[in-house]
Amino acid sequence: MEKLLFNIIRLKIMSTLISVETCDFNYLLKVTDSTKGNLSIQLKKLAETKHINVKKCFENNYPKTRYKITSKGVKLFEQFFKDIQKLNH
Amino acid sequence: MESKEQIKIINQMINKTKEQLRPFSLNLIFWGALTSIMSIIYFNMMHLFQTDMHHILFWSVIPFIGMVIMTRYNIKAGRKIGYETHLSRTIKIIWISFGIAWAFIILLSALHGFSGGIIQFLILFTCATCLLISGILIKYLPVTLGGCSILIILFLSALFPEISYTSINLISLTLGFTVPGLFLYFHKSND
Repeated sequence: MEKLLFNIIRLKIMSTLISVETCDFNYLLKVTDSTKGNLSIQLKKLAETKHINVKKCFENNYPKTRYKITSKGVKLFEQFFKDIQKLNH
Repeated sequence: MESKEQIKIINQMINKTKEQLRPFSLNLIFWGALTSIMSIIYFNMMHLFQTDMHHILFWSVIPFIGMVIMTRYNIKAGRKIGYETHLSRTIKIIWISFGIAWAFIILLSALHGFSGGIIQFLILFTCATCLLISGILIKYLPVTLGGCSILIILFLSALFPEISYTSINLISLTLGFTVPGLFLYFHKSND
């Protein structure tokens, strides 16, 4: 089973991103109940493994980062979900 | 972490993402009200529109300003929410397609000199279809019925040509946009 999603914050991030088209950092911070530092580290790991896409832009002169799950990320999440369902039965 | 706990977390996270339909409802109310007011002005002050260009300018400049205002509002609302769902993206694409179709109809009517009745029919038919699809997608009956009501009114207007343009516009836009928009705005799932 993929160990990447054993981390609770990463699992929360991927579960959120699978249900939305895109979302920003502040929304992820709110739903994951994490700290900014920890969330940034986990997002960086997911981006490095190409499971999520990161898009940086400026909105009203403030930097804004938007996240989107990639097809690789969707496959990983689906496989992980199947695996934990098997374990659960 | 146990698998049961992991499934629980996944469920919790997915349930936290709710469809935000309030911006869509405000769009419906805005367009319903704007086009109804425009219809009343247009059909009661027909003498002000001397040339074909006057008619086209009236029905293109004001809706274009409306589109700019609502696009700005939608962008701001999207930023405030912080996320975009798959469904809201689909709805957005449907209404962008309507905007393109609307511009195409206006352009064609300017080039070929279509009559007011044909322009009205084409625009109302296109927006009824978009409304119907949106209603089915968001699974909200008043919006679906709004789309159906515009189609029925268009069918009746074809059967009874003596019905005035003002009546067709006012009834169809009120039933198709304003009423479903208000229903959606006050719907409990928006809270």
